[in-house]
Amino acid sequence: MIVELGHYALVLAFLIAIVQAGAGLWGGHTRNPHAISLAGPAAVTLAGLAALAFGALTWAHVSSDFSVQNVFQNSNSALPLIYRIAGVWGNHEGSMLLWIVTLSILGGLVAVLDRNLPPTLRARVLGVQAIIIGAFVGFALFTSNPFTRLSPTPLDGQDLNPLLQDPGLAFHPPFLYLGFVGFSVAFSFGVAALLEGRVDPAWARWVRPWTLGAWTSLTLGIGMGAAWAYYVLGWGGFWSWDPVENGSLMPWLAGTALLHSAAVIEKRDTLKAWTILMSITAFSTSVLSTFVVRSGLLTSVHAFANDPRRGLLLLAICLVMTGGALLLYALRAHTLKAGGAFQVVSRESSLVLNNVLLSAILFTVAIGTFWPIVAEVAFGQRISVGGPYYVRTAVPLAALLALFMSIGAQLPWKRGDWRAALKRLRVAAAVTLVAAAASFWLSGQSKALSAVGVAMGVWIVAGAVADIALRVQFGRVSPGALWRRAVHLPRSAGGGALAHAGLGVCVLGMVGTTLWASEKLTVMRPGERMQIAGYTLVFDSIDPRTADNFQADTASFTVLRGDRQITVLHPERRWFPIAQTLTTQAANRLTPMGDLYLVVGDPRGDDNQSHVVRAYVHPLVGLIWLGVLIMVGGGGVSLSDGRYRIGAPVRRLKPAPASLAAAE
Amino acid sequence: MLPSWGTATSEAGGGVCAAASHRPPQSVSPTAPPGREHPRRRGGRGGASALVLATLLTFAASGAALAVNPEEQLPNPQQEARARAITRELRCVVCQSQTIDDSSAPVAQALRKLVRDRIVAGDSDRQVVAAVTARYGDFVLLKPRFDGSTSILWLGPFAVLGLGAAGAFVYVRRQGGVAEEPAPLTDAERAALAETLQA
Repeated sequence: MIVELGHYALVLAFLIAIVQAGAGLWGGHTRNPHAISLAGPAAVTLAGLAALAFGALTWAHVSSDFSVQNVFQNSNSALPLIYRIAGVWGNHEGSMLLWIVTLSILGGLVAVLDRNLPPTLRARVLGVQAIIIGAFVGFALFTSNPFTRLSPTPLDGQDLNPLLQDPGLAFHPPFLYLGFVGFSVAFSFGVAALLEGRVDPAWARWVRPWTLGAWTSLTLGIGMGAAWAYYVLGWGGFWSWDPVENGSLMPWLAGTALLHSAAVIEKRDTLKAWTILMSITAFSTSVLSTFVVRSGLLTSVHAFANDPRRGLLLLAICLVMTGGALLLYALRAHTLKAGGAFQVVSRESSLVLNNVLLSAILFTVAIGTFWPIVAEVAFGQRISVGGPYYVRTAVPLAALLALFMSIGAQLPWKRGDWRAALKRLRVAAAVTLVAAAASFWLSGQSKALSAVGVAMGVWIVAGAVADIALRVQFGRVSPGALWRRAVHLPRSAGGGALAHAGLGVCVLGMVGTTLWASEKLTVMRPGERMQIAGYTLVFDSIDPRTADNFQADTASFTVLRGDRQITVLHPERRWFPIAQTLTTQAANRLTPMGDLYLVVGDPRGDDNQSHVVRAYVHPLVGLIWLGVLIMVGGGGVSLSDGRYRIGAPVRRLKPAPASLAAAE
Repeated sequence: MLPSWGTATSEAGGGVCAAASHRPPQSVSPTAPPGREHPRRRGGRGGASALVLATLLTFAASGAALAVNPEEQLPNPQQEARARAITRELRCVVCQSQTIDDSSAPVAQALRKLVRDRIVAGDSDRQVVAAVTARYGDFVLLKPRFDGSTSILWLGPFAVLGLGAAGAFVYVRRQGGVAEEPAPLTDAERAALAETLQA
């Protein structure tokens, strides 16, 4: 009954989306007040209905209602509660429903929070948002209905993919989707602005919290996915340039570009057409990556043919949305008038350069992801594009970006002096050179790459630290004044510097774990020991244990540094009988300097006591996730800037004292 | 005692590119030997729906497998290091985005053996890769060769950067040209300014 209510809510949501799209767009166009006033309540209702549908599916999963096909295929009565919940989005149909509910709730929030938007703009934003929601609800209803019932009801479910049974992964998709879908608001604002024929600093301020929220969430989602890959997949890698990973990186790159170019509109009222293009790109790449993942196109061209209905419908949604927006862009972008002029050396120019570099990286990732399909279909040539390609193309471009990002942040708006900027960064530059020289000297392998990589990371971090130090006039004012200046620092500026620093920390982690890792692979009997990177590992024992829905062989290793015992690690091999899948559960010991990572593999020999053991030491790997957290924190700090708070009432500004105004 | 990778997965009838065991069969290039197919594990599932939420599997390139077996390693550490470097740039032909170094599929194992045999036989890195591509085609190269159709891969990124930078420079110059330097004050303005300041 509850499942049918959810299904019914989804059908109703589809109809309401059509009404909202019509009312919003037609109302915005004709300025009909009745139509305009319809869009807001429709958006809120839509959000409620989508939440109801999602709740119904969640209830079916939690209560293990195996008469629902989706639950039967992706759950099991022995599954712990958290994975019964995560199983809701751990499959195609459920993940589309998660996508829809996130999209609808954001639409509802726009309606509730952005009340002070000009009525026609608001109506149009909600209208465009409703088109997107309607398209995906339609897709779910007609090709991927999560509420399909089975008869007769099976006794038990087929279990959730054991690889997905991990607490870190349970919350990876919601954050990733919040990021993808969050860019839909920027997209809707972009298209609505093209319809209105008007983009100004106020527009940039309205879009900013949505873009920033989406970016922050996507950053966290990608970081969680990388963490999951690192400790669940058992090979110690965090990124493999898989098409699906690239699919999440593309919107991130476009969203980062959008954040930076929107700042130019906000402060200087220029770079409008480009920013609109980026707002279209950010969401289009999100939809594109969903299409690619959902259709199976990238798994193989042949998998696509297995269910062409889904693939083709998604492709149509993708083309109509992106194509429609770009067509509108081509027709209307020239009507957007540029405002403030700026010189070649200026903050504006550096942000243009940032966008050029990010676009080049985006192009690289996109061409690398899609060209194999084109080459196969058009030239009959089967090629592969993987890590070794991106390392030689995207990574050098990223190094250029790293070089310029710290300098750009020191250039003033309108007109700057690059010599003055470099002079302000002289301490940062000195620190960077010392760090690069030290890593060249100390690293046993890939000396030149180590030096370049460390220089990149340290330069970004040092540039961000210098930025804050200069803003609070560190070293020039008394500690008390320093504190006051730090507290009153605009949060958007502090958040930006923090995000930059986070990226630098992340780069250092990637450099350390990619270039300096140690690895040992051997067969060990209980009682034997091995040495790796200063650690001694003693294989104590391996014993069976039984959990709710799997059986495991748990090994015990004592870790020594010299003669001192540091810790005991318990890597496992797990057998999931329902899913008939064997997984390995790595054990690790993370310290700021690096991570000792231990996997136990197949038994060897007749008595099954000897096992394949693989040990890694990944220096600095923790910095990757520390960096992600700092970036997320930067996004959060920036988001908390009162001047941009969503729905902040328009206040009359108090006249600022002269001293404060000068300090700003 | 749990079964070993090989037996467990073959009993289950699934593939051994662990994550790939949830994916539909992967086609193999015509020049390659048939390799192992990955029959779908679960009866009731249709093609694309067997793609377990691939966003979740975003990072499931390798799926908890232990690829290289200890027995495969070469006794000479330098040769072993070369073998690892080479196998990290070659794709497992039956898996999705996995190198033969990561993959536990039999085809990948055979390729690893081929690479190591060639190295022991005294081939240079280039000759080893040539021996592999002679059998399996360019499909195994994760770093595509530069030729007619892949030139866009190698030149595109830098062309986009060059054109983008040039375009941006022209745009910046053009829009900023007007406001390069503010025009000097006229005598009348200077007089008005002096008057204002004195007042």
